[in-house]
Amino acid sequence: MEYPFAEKCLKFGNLTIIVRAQWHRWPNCEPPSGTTELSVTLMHDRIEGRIVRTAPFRKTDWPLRGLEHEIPRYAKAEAERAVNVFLHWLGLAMTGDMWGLFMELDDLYRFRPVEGLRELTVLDFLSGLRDAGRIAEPLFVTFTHLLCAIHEWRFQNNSEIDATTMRVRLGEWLLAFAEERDKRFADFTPKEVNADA
Amino acid sequence: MRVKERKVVRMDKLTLVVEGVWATTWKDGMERGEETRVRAIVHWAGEKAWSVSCITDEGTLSPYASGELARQYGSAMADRHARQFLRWLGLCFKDDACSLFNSLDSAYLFNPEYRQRPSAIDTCWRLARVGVIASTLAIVFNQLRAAVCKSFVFEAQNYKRYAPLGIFAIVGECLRNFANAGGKELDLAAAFVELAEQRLKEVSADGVSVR
Repeated sequence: MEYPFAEKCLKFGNLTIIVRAQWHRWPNCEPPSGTTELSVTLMHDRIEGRIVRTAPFRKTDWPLRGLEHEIPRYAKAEAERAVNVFLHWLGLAMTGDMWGLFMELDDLYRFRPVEGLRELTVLDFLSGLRDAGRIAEPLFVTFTHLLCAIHEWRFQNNSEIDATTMRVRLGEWLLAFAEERDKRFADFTPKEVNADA
Repeated sequence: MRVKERKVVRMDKLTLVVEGVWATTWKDGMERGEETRVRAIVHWAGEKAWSVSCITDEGTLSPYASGELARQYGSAMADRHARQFLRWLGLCFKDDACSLFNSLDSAYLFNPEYRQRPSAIDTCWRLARVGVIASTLAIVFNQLRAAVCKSFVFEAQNYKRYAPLGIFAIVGECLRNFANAGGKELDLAAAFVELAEQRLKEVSADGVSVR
C-alpha cells in the first residue's frame, strides 16, 4: 500500500527545488515499522535534465502494533515532518549556523558519543554517523545548487547585493518556510535588484 | 596511474583483504586529480568473495605528476589509508566510540565544534564522506566479529581462559599492532593467542588470578 507523501517546492532564480518525503512500510514486518524516504529534485530553467538525490530520513523504531488504522495518518505526519525538517536544516546551512545544524543532526541520528552522558556502542555510533552522512549528501547538493543560483541571479541582474547577505536572507526565509505547515510553494527570487531598494 | 597496497587478515574461515587504491582521475582527457579508496574484500571459505569500498581521500593532482616518484607517492598513500582503516577497525573491536569519533574527526574535520567559522559546504560534504566510511567500517567490523565468534576463541575452554581479558579488545589490539607494524599479512588467530598468552603471563606475574 502506498501511503500519502508530503511535498514542498521552492524557487530561486532559475532553480526549482522539490523536497518530497514518503513513509514506506517494510513488507511482512510485525509490528508495523518502516522508513521515511526523502528525495530532493533540482531543476534548472533552460536545462532539460534534473538532479534527484534520495536518502532515508529515519526509521520508525517504535511499534505501531495494534494501530493499523492510524498508520496512514502517522505516515502523512511523518512525511510532512521530514520535508519541514530538511528545509529547516537547509535554512540553517544557508544562514551558516553549522553548530546548530550539527546538533540537530546529532539529536536525530545520535552519532556523537559524550563521555558520561551518551555512551554509544561502536555499532550505534557507526550506524548513526552513516545515517547522518546519507542525509548530509542531498543537503550538500541542494546547498551548492542554491549558492550557484544566487550567483547566477546576481550576474543576470547586475545586482549589488552581496552574495553572503543574500544567502543568509534566503536561509532565514527557508527557516520560516519550514515552519509554515500549509504553504506548499514559495518563490524566493528577489523582486528588488539593487542594494538600496 | 593506479597503485594498490593489500593487507590480508585471516581469521578461521574468513579472509579479509583491505586494499588501499590510489589512482589519478581523468577529466576532459587530462589527468586532473587523485583519489584514494579503501576496498575491503570479504571471502568466507567456500563462498563467493564480495567487496565494499569507500573513497577516503581525493584532491587535486600531487606535484609528482607521473613516473616513478608518482608510483612511490601513490603506494605510500594507498598503504597509509589501508593501515588507517585497520586502525579504525581495531578501535571498533575495542568498542571505543569516543576515540573512533575523534580519530575520524581529525581525519575528516566534520565536527564544527572548536573550529572557527566552519563553512556549510565543508561540513556537509565532510559529513557525507565520513558517513560512507562509517558504513563500510560497520560492514567489515560485523564480518570480522562474526569470524571471531565462530572461531576456536569462543570454544568453551578457550572462552573461559580468555574472556576475562576482553576477547574483542585483544583482537582490536592485534589489528592496531598489525597496522602500526605495516605488515602485509596477519594471522589473526595466531596473533590473538600470542597476545592473550602474554597478557595472561603479565596478569599472573602481578599475582592476580584470572579464571
